[in-house]
Amino acid sequence: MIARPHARLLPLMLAALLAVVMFACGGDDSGGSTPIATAPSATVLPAAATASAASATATPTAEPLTGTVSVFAASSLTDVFTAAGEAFTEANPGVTVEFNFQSSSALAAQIEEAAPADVYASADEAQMQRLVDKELIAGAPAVFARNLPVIVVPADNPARIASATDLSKPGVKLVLAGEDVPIGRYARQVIGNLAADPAYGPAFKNAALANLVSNEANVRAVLAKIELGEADAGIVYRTDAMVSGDRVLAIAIPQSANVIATYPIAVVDSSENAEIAAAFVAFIRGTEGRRLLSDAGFEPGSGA
Amino acid sequence: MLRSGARAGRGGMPLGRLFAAPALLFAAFVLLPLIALAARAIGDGEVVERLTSPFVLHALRLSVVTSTVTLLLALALGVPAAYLLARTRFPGHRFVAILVELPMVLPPTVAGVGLLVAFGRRGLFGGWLAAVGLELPFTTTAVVLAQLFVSAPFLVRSLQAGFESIDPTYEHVSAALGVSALRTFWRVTLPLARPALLTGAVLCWARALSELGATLIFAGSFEGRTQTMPLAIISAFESSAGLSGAIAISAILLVVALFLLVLMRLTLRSVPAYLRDETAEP
Repeated sequence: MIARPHARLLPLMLAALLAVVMFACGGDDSGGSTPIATAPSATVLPAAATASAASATATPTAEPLTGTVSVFAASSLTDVFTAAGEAFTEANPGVTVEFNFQSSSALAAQIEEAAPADVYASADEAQMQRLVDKELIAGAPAVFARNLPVIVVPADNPARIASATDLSKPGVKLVLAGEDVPIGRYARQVIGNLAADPAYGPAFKNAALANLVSNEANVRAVLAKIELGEADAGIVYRTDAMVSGDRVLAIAIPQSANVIATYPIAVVDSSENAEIAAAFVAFIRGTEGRRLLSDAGFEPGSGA
Repeated sequence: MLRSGARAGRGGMPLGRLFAAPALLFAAFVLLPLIALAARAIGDGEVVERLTSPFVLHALRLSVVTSTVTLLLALALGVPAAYLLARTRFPGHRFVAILVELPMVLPPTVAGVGLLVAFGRRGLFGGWLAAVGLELPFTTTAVVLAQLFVSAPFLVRSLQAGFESIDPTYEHVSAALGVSALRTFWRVTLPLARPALLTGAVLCWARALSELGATLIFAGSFEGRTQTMPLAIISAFESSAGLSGAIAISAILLVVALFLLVLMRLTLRSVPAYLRDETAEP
């Protein structure tokens, strides 16, 4: 007869389930929920006062800040802002920073629907303006960084892309971010600029866009498809290509046709942690923030 | 306090009072978002405008076509699978039964990642497919495969239970009367399992129609080719059209889904009374 170990299997499985739940709960607090399953998940940095001798250059404040700040930032800022968050909490041990990294357009949509954001950092002015127009931003946004779009191909370059011209080669699988996503807009601008150049010609634009096989949700999704080798070429930010390192090959876009991505940051009007939010914005725009951004490959924002 | 004896006289529904409150709460919870959606859509007046936009029409057509193809494939492959699971006992039977149920509990994004790893250009089998010129990601075929993966188990499970509940005596009698096994299956077994088949088909079709995560990861999102209605709704929500764009498209999908459900129920009605489960609400 078939053995029936159910009597022992069930309590064993329940114990395993309990262990998993305890482990998951016992770790970091879970925070920053992202309603869209496909977007990168949010990360939370607990207010652990790490015993670091090389302490961060903390801007002395009258009273130590305590509380939580919820930062909605563009996907391309994932790594640099996570590092900035760690530095910020080192300097302000009473603070917890919660991140929500998605495309700037998705974040703007969420803020329009009253998502609890304190700081918004966008990869283009258009998405920030969208919120300013709806009076959802406190004060004036400030540009804190700039970035450059770049063409990326898988490390082994299956379609043998050597330059921007090759984007119009028949059969190339091109992946871009969606039209409303900043990098998606920038990419289309670049393609348009190239087509205006007599060396490329107007047919370039149609040929390149005919190679488009997918409009991804954000820049990291584009990067993922390239890293996986599923697509032949994509357009992401130079900083994303740096993050991927050896997994992708970056091909420069001719400077005459390239656009400069400007990243504004601002405190959200409905924020209930306006003081900490302002402090975080100041941190990003300050010496430490600028250093982290430049280490990650971002260009400095406009002066002041 | 269950005074079932005292209440039994009122139409024979002793638990009616006790269960009414939680049941009503549940019904309200399910109905309110749908009613709110319909009300907003009618109020905003954007629905008709959006209905005629190529963006929405492409997504609608793609959704209906892919989910129908998925259903047909699920039937073609799932009916034999369900029958074997119900009627035969082979080594690893329990394991296969669990495997069939797995896509139902798996998050769709995990399914998408799995499909990509298996059938992507650099995937386990994708390499062979690419060698014969068959590249799946970014194609409508990929959409169907993603939908099939997540929705077929609903059909198989429902049908398996249906087959299991049929007394094998009917099939034995048919065989004894000299009818071939295949004809028996077609004329005796399958008609008897019709309610389970139809329930499973509804669930399968519904799940395929609403599939999002696996599609996005495996097939990508491109208007007319891979951007189904759920993907279009997300895209609209994140665009400058914002929530109103999403509401309009959602309302359209709601109507289509309602239509499909009613269609299925009408088909079920034509099932003879002796086959219909008498205790279930028709």
